[in-house]
Amino acid sequence: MPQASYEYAVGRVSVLFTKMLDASQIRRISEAASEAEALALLLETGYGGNLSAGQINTQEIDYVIRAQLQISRQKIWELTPAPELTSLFLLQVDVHNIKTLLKARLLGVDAPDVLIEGGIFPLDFLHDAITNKYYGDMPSAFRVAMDKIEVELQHNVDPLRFSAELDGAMFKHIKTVLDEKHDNSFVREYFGLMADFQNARSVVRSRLLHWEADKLKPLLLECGDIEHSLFLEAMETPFEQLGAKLNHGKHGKVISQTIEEYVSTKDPSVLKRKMETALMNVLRGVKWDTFTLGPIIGYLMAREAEAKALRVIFGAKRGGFEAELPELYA
Amino acid sequence: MLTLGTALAFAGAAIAAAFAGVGSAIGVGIAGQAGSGVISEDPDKFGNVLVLQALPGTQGIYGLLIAFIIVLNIGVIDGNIKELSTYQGLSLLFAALPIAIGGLMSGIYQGKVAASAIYLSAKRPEETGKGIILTAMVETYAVLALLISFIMVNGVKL
Repeated sequence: MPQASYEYAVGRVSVLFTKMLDASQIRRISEAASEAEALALLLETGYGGNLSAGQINTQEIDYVIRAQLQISRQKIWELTPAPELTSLFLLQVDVHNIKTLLKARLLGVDAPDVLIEGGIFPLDFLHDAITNKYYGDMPSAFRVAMDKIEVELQHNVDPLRFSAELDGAMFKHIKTVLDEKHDNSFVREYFGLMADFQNARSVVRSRLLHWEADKLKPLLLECGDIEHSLFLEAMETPFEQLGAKLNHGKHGKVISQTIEEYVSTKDPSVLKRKMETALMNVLRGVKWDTFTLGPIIGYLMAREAEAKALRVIFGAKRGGFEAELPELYA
Repeated sequence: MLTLGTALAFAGAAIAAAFAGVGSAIGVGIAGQAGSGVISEDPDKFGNVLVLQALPGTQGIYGLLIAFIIVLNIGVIDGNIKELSTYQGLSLLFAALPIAIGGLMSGIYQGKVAASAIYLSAKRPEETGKGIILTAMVETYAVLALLISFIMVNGVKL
């Protein structure tokens, strides 16, 4: 049985880091002549848990990536000495599964292929909860959100709305756990920054769609440093002053600079790219804190970033265009 | 009959062995946990891990050495325990403090450095030697504590 100690967990993670794809391997995969060759190179590294090229065809690259992510998430879940805090980083998997199961129920289909193992809720539990519309065993934030969604679904089906409800529930749950644990570590900083960035992105999107502030309000996420009232006021602020308006809190400067860059370039991908870089920087800051959760979460996020890079590479190969790699951990 | 001085000398021997031993136990424990983590993913690293885990164990030996000299000097080994004055006993007690405290603290911190060196060895096995040197640096202070305790214990005229 694993020991619940940071020393033990970081020891395991130190070895697991060495099994990740390094820069030269990613470059070789990226420069492969064909998708099939790229897949063969990827499988040679042991990525995806000893699958062979014969077992997989190039259309199933997502299967390989998901298999590897599942292995990584399960490893982390098995070795972490702080399961409550670690679970916060796996919640996105659960939110994806809940959204998928809800959509599948509404469409009257099964969706086992797109569900992902490795979240904090077992898939059977989620499946039963959504089939029976009973959410009493979920954490409070999710229970309230799901009950609300079920009531709304009786009147109309608005996927954007229930997606926003679930994202809101996720951040509400994160805030509750962080407050209960009195956590002031990089975990709070990470999710605070993510919430602020997502809220800033919601403001920009709402402005582009000419929404009223009332429509933005339910989309705003908790857990951030910047007050919600500032985001609502930002709906009336000229675009040129938007960056300065949101320059609040520890990461206000980076959010402000990102918005200013977006305003000058009009490239919406800037917002996502800069958010990923800023989040990765938070994790890099605790990369060497050897007796903390930092390296453990760093490994999990490094695997997620690696998966994203592979999706971009294989997507670019299929589409016949140049791959622009996302931010990697190392 | 035991005098207060003899009892104080016993106390000195006890804290030298116990405190330095506890420091080593904690240090070896920290490094051992880090080592088990590494070995559970890569059993081939056992050799490197073992050397690094053993390093924080020396403080316990230093503590034992001072304790042994004290009990030897007061005649416990040959069964002829000396009746020490209070000042002689206090002197031996104070003489034991450097290795007791130095061994306790340096053992714990050396364990932490050893654990970090084990992580280094897991990521870059070719740098294990540097990890050993960094870990051995902490040893300096345990050796200094041992030295001063040794000089002081031998300086007490019985």
